Amino acid sequence: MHTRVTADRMLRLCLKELRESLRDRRTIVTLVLMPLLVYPLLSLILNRVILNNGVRRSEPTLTIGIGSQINEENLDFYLRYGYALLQDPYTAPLFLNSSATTSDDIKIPAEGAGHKLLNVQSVPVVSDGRHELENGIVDLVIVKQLEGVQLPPPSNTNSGAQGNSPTPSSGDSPQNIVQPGTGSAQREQSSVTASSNEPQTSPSGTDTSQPSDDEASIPKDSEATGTDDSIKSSLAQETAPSSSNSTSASSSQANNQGGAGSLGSSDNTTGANNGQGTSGLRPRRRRWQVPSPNPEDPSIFIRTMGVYEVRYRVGDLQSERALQLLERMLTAVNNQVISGLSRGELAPSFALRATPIAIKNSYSDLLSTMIPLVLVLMTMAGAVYPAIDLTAGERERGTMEALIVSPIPSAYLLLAKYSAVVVVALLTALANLAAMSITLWVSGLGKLILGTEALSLGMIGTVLVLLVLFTMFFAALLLAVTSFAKSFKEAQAYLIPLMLLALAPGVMSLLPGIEFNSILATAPLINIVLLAREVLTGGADWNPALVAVLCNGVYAMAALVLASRLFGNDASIQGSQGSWRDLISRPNRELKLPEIEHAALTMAVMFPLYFVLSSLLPWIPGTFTQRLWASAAVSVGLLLLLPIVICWLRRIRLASTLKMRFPTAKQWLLWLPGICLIASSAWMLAHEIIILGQSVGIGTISDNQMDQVREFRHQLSQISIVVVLITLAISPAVCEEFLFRGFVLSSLHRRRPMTAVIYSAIIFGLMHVLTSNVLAVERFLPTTYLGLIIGWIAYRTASIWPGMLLHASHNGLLLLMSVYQDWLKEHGVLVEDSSHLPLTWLAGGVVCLIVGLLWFAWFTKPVGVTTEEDDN
Amino acid sequence: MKFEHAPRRKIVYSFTGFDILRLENPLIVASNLVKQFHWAGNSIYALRGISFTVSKGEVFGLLGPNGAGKTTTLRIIMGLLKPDSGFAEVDGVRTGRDASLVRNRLGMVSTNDGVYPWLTVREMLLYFADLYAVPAATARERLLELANKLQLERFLNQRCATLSTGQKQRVILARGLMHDPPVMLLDEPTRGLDVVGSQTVFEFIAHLKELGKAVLLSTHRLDEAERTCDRFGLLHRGTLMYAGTLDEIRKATGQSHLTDMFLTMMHNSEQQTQATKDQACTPA
Repeated sequence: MHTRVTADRMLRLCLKELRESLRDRRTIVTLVLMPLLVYPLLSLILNRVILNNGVRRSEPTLTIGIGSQINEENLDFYLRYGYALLQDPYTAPLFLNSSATTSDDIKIPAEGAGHKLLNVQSVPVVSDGRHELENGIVDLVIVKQLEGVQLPPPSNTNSGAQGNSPTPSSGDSPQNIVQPGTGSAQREQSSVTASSNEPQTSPSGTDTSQPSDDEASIPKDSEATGTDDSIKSSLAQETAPSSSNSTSASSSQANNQGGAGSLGSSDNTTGANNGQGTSGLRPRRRRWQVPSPNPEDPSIFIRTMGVYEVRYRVGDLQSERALQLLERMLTAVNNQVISGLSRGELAPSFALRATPIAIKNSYSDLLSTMIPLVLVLMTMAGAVYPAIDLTAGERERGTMEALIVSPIPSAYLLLAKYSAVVVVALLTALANLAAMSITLWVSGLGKLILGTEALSLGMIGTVLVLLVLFTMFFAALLLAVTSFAKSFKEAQAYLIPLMLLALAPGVMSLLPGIEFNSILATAPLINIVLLAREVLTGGADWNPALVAVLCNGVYAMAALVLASRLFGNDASIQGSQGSWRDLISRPNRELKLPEIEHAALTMAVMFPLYFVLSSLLPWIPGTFTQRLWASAAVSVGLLLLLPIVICWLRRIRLASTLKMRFPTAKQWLLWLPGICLIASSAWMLAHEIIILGQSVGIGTISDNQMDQVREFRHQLSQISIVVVLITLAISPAVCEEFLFRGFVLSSLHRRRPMTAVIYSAIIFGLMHVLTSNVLAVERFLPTTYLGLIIGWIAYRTASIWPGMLLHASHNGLLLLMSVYQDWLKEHGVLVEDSSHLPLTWLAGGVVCLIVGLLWFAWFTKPVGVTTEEDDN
Repeated sequence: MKFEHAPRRKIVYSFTGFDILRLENPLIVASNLVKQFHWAGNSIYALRGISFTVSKGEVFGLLGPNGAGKTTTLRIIMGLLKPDSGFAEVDGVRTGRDASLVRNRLGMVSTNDGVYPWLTVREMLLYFADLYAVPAATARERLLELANKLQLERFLNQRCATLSTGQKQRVILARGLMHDPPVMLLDEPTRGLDVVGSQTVFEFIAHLKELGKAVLLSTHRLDEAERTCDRFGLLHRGTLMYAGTLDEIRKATGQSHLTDMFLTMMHNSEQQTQATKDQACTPA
């Protein structure tokens, strides 16, 4: 007579809820308008944050590092020249008097150039500059010249280059004469920069050696190849400013701090930032001044010809901008040289070979947590309205009573509502994901955060799966809260603290240093945000990920059970108060058997607790024996006491629930042979299943784990066999039997018996997978198989005790075999762990098992004559 | 070899023990219902032992002023509340024993009932048919039938939010009959309706009677009760003061009109309480 809820009926129920919430324009508002509004706004804010955060300067300056293997000065000149060209090809410093380019730094001539260039500075770096690049000191490193024009006397250039940086050795003879010429320009600027009167002592950029008017002409009539002399002279000329730099390098810092005005302050900030990364080797920083090449000497261009290796941070806006700028500068110089300088005789080219360096930025970490957090929050927002509308709204509309009076169990009603809320929330998530992807792609933020062009499809899919998981949990939670509320207003009042509560772990996951581990994986909400972060920034570990997924499912189920209790319960006592108390207080009527919801509640409490406790077990100080006892205590507390407490709370009769009817002596005698047969042979098939699973690739045990197992066995053989048997064979057997064959199997009493046995066996198997901090996937199949056998026996005998004896003796046999392994091996009885059993053994085992099962089939009768069963 | 089997769930058909009730084969039985509400140290008796029966094809009017316990009685019959003592039966099934069995046999229309504003009339009615596991084909047939009876055809594809109060009430009446229950509970079905709307309800009740349903009508409007009900129960402060046909109550109260009976009843009970108060006062 129990009206069965068929799938299509359920579907129609779900459809009704979905229709109801999707036709509501308030749902549509959160579904469509919110993402459209939020993400552009968010991207604007983020853009600002990143520009401020990533560049860390008031105005962005691109810093180009020049590797120590390069003849630095030539390149430096080259770059400066290119930069000046880029600013305005017609007012490039070569053609202009000094007043055209203003001030100390190369700034954009405001009217002259239509486009704005970023400031650039060059910094010599140690070796390949990877360190500086990673620390954000430089945005780009020109590492070395891969190929280029090999100049006739390489020793000369080398000595010149080396002589450059440490001491002003060779380069200060004739070219120092140029310096006084620039002194006038310097004086003009002394008003801008406060303290630097002498060009020498202002290395951080105030020594601008401007080109003089008469020199500013294109060096058009150049020789095809530079002679040694001309090279030397150009070299020396170029080294002049840098040598003055290097001499004062030591005092540069002091000078800066002494008060270089605006410049000093900006340098200070960068210095503070750099100081965190590299306190010891702080690179000297040089402001760029407009170059003053000898126009008669084009060899400087020839020297720098070639292919350079350039490194940049991939996915970093700043760094990629620097690369682009570099390319543009070089193109400009090349063009200039080709068109004006060489007249077809010489075509120097400067090619780049860019090597991306994948670097995790500090803020990309933050942002990659923020993306899932924002998505999660938006999904939450999407779920809120339908959840309230479908539960508290029913009451407000006056349809609740009609629903409650209908014969359909409120759990199904709630399931329909739940799926509708999940669907709406997922639609919101999809809309948000789409809006977010588009925003990331359009604004270019995606590059910064994720390093790739846009969110890849696979990544979107993964995030979506995670959102589904999260939504399943959160929708259940929401429904639990809103079902409790009596009106819309009340529901909203409850939800505000809930949202804030949900925000707290989210914000916590934003904190640096929080890692996604097994313990955090059991924390609701935080686990999904962290998992999403792991997925977005590169692979997540399987173990905590699985735990997070499993925990989410379990929590969702628990919340749903709670919601269905509230949904039905509260309405029935409309008018009377104290619903919370009703929830906790024991019901008046005693239940003979538990319902599925009770089992779900137990599992929801047990799984995370069991997982956390068993992960903590190895950390307990104490001897091995003490730890064994502790683990036994955990299993007694969680597997045995927890169901008993829940039975007491919900007033469920213990004796019938736990199938405690003790068989009579006659029955024991009858069943004992069957138990012995099965107990002695069940392990063989289990062993084979493990090995088969391993050959397929399920949970192959690593060597490390094998070592642990050996160590464990060794420790076992050291202590009393009685303790081992009690803690590892008897206590788990007793507790697990009470829980799985007692409580869980009884709670499935509305199902067909074989279905109930299968379900309970699967739960049994799952629990064994979740033992310690390593997921033992390979244990699932053999445990489930054992669960099937024992469950079936418990069902046939309507008692828990035969199964318990079977379980304990099976465990004990395995333990004894592993403790006395050496002895057994000596006598040739036992084979290695990882190999198949001899065929004769296996055949014997299977025969024993079948005979044992048939024995039970023969000597027991199926309990409950509801449906047809197959005994085999 | 025979072993004890695990207990099976059984449907328990219980009988009241009153032979006369069994002979009449009533569809609704309320037997000595007592219900006390508690809150924060306070408690009030909503029902103090109420018994009545309603047979097939009979309309029983549960009359009483506000707070008399009408709705509580209905809720106990629906199985939403558990009585402190006594029991209620619907079509031979104890309420609170097997909820789904009782609820399948019950149709309920109440004052506070609402409609789903975003669903069309058709969708809503079919939804309720689904809730009661009515086969889809039967549900569609019954929908048309009821729409015809209650003049709902024109609105079937209209959203419920757009309906007028009277139209909504008709939708709710139709909803109560979608699963064709043998027992109908009507909780003040005409409250807030105009004359035409009330007329529809009366016609509906007449229709129910024709169909042979047992109808329990709770109302405080005596004129309409007089028009529609076969038997009455006059409820006052949780006690059923009088029960029977109009003639029987007339004889008992000495009044010809329901309104007068009602006033007499209330007057009597007030006098009683006054008397008890006086008694309490005089010795001192």
